[in-house]
Amino acid sequence: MIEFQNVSASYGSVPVLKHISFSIGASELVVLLGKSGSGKSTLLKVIAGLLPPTEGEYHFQNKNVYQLPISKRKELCTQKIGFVWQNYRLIPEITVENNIFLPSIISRTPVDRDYYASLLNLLGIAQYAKQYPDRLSGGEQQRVAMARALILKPDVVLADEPTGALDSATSSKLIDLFLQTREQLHTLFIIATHDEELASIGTRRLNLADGQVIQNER
Amino acid sequence: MKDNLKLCSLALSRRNRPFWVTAILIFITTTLQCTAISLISFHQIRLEQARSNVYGYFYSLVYQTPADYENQPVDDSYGTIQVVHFFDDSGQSVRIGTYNPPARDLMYQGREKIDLPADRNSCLTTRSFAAQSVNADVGTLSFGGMSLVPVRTIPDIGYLWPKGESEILSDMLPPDIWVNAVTFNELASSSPAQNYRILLLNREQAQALKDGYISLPGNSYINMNIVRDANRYIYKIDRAFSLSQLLLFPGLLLLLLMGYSHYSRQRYAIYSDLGLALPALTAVVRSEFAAVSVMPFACSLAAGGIVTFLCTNGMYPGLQIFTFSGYFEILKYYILVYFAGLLIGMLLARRTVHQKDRIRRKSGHRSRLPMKGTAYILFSAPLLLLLTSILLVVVSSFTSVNALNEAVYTERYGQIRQNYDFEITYEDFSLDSQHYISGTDLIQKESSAYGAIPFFFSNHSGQLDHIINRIEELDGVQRVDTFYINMNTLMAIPETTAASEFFERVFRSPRYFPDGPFTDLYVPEIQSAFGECVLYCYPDTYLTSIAGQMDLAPEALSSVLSGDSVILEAPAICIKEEAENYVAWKRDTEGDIVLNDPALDTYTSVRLCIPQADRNLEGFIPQEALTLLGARLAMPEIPVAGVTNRNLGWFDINDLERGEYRVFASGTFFKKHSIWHEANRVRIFLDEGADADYVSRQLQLLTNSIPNVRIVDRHYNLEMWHEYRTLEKVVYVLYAVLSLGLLISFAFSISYCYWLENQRNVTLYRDLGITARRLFYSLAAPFLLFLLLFLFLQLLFEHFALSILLVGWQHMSLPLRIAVPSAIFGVYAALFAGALGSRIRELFRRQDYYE
Repeated sequence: MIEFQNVSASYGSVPVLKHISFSIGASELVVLLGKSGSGKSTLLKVIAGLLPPTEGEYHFQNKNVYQLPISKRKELCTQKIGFVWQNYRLIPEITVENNIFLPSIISRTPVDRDYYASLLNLLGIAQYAKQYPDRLSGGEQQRVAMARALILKPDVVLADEPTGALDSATSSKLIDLFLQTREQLHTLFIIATHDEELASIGTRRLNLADGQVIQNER
Repeated sequence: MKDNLKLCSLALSRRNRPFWVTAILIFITTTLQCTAISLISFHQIRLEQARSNVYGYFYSLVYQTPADYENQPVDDSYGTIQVVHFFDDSGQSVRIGTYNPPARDLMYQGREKIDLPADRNSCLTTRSFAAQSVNADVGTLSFGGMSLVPVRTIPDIGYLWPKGESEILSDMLPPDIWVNAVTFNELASSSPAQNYRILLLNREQAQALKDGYISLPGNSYINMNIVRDANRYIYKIDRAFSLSQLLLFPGLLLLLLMGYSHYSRQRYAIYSDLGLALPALTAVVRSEFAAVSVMPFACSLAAGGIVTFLCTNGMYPGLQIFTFSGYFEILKYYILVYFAGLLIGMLLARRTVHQKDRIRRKSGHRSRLPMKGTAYILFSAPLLLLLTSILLVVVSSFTSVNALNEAVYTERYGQIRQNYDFEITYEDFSLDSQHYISGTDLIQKESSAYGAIPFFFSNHSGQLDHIINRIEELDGVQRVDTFYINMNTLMAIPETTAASEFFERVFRSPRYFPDGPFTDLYVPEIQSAFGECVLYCYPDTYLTSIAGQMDLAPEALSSVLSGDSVILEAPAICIKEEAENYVAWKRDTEGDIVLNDPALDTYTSVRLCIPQADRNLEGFIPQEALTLLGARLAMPEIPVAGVTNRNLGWFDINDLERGEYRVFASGTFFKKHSIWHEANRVRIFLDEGADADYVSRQLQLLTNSIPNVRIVDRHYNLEMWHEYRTLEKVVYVLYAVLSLGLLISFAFSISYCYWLENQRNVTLYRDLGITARRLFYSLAAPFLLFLLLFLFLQLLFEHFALSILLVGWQHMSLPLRIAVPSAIFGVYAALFAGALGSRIRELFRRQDYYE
């Protein structure tokens, strides 16, 4: 589903990813590990279509993503890839429900109401739908962010340090949630984390150091 | 599009405070603007209507030679006047013109109606012409074998009549004699002089001609009196004010939109990261701009209309001034510039989105600068400069208009300030044929107890006396004050002074003494000489009020009221030498009043006159000037309780060229000296809520048989005056609120943007242990330093640029010029510091805020 061929990426003149190559199949749960600054978040941004590589090719579902016109790339990434940020990135001025609907509004895709309801129930946030995000706890906000990432039934969910701001109890619940969601929705998860407990659930580990993949094992 | 609208509608969430705060700010400020502008404009419309009803007007004249209008039909509706130069028996040129009611209405609109009887021998004459040329014995004029009977005199040059240099050079002055068209044709057929005609046009007619591309031959002249008044005096806000408002409108909107986009940039970044393409994001931002601008502005227009409607109906009950079409006509340019501002904002939205993207990406890799945000300082300071300049223009505009209006009230329309409703004046200057000064019957001579012989003479005939009682009985009349005016009173002065050329000119004037020099004819035995003054008898209440203004001692006031002394008002003086007129005094650079020309003492010809309205702005004549005046013209040798050099504000327009002392005395003084004291001016005060129209009609009925009576209806003007003063205060308050609102919104918007720019840094500094005070200084210092720099630049700009560009600015004192920008910058800095301080306090109070 995802294939990196000798991909490099940088911020300005600072190289972050250096000649990375790997491929990932569907329904996996991939864990990205590595020290801070190793390039985990940058790799997720490249996968999400937010940061063009300076070198190499990135194929998603057999399409060279960055060769697509920008509108097509946006469309593809919005519909097929969901992103969960470490700091949630929810809009405090609109309700939880509207935050979750944002990808469907942006990609002009109608929302499957039954799926939406089941998603809220799965994530345990059905009672918060009409509330505003800044009234929720960190774990609840993280679940809302997950719901937003999953609302379009993406093939891939990217999560950047999803437990980074959560206590251990909440982290455990979130990990259970990932597993449960993957089981029910058969979605590919790529999770960047320092959390060993979270890393332990992965079906595959990609270890990055200094912008390069130093370990790729199942 | 639909989805963009959906995204836009999300911005309308009640939790989206930036949206609603921006909308409310736009609503408040634009409502204030719309209300203030429309109220001022409607009031101006009302005042212009009132003024034209009282004084009448016309804006343009077209003078044509026979060649100009040959073969063209004469359109009487424009007020055509035909004029012929006729040479009388002595070879003097006399201008005879046709009397045309439309022209009369344009010239004397709202004033006393002067009608010319249909009789072919009847005519009207100007006053000076009557004094010089009418045969007093037979009371007729003879021209071309025709004997004309003057039935009425009219002012030489009406207030409404232009007498510019062009007219004088072209000898195109108003006629001396006005006759019927039939009579005119008879006279014109025997005249060798060229005919020409005068078209009088009011503004609408002139505009209609221009709009219709009608080429009207002839020389066109503007009635500068009216134009000057319209542009400079009387309730007119100058053009700089309107321009500043037109600039302020879109500027304010742009400022608020930029602030709004700053507040919303995190949301836009999330939209972008969730896959919204830049064009679509730009469309969303534009939609939000439109929503946040149009909705409150529409509400503002409605609210402003309602407030204006209620205010105008409250102020002018019964007068339907407000119309919605008129309201939008007034505001149309403001609406246009507002939407132009919105358009610019929408065009900038694309740039804003790109910048947000750039800023967001940069924010991941912040620079090492301890504080960021100089861009906001540079962004805010020029806008602050603009705002300050605009407010200065407003202040200077009001200052200028007020100064000019005060001068006009004082000098030209002084009566407006008097608190009465109607005034009836028997005009001494209206010299009908039966009232020419001739013979000793018009002179009363009496011995004086002061070693000289004062003479008082007048042509009173007690015309008003017999109706005063009837006026007092009218319903609604509260009080009637009676005034006596002796226009030509001779007061004893030293002989040396009397020998001056000034008195020679006065006493040998053929205007007053057509049969020969006054002294030769009537008082040859007088050894002393005389000075001329106008003796006014004022009601005791007025004298008490005047004494209060002069700080007159109670004993002195008592002596005035008992008729033992008088109050002398020294006139402002002009010096005449050859053809030049000078105002004798001026203010020097330090504000002191000094002689305008040090060579004054060498002048041989001195003329007293009251300066024109715009000349007396420099102030009143100081004591030093009076002393110097006394060296030439000694004070009258009658007991003077006090001398005032303040203009007491009561004289007629026709008196402008007359120079004299004015002496204010009580009725008792008149009686003690056996001076004739028939009333020639009556002021009528109405009860509150009285039917002014009824009283007006009754006054017309009571006086219509009396010639030379002028009724002035100040009821209208008083209302107008008080309403204007009230409105002026309202407008001041509105603009004070508006300015403060702008400063508040401006300071908070910029401080918030500045905060956003630095929030990660300041959170870090907080966590590293910086104190709140130090954090505040670190954030505020660069901003305040820049403000000081811009204040300095502002003052330089105001001093060098505005003093050249703006007349109003010149009326502002130096401390005010510095105080206004300093106050604005100071208030702004305080608000900014307050907003910043509150955020820092909040940051320290909520330790987890940015966790």
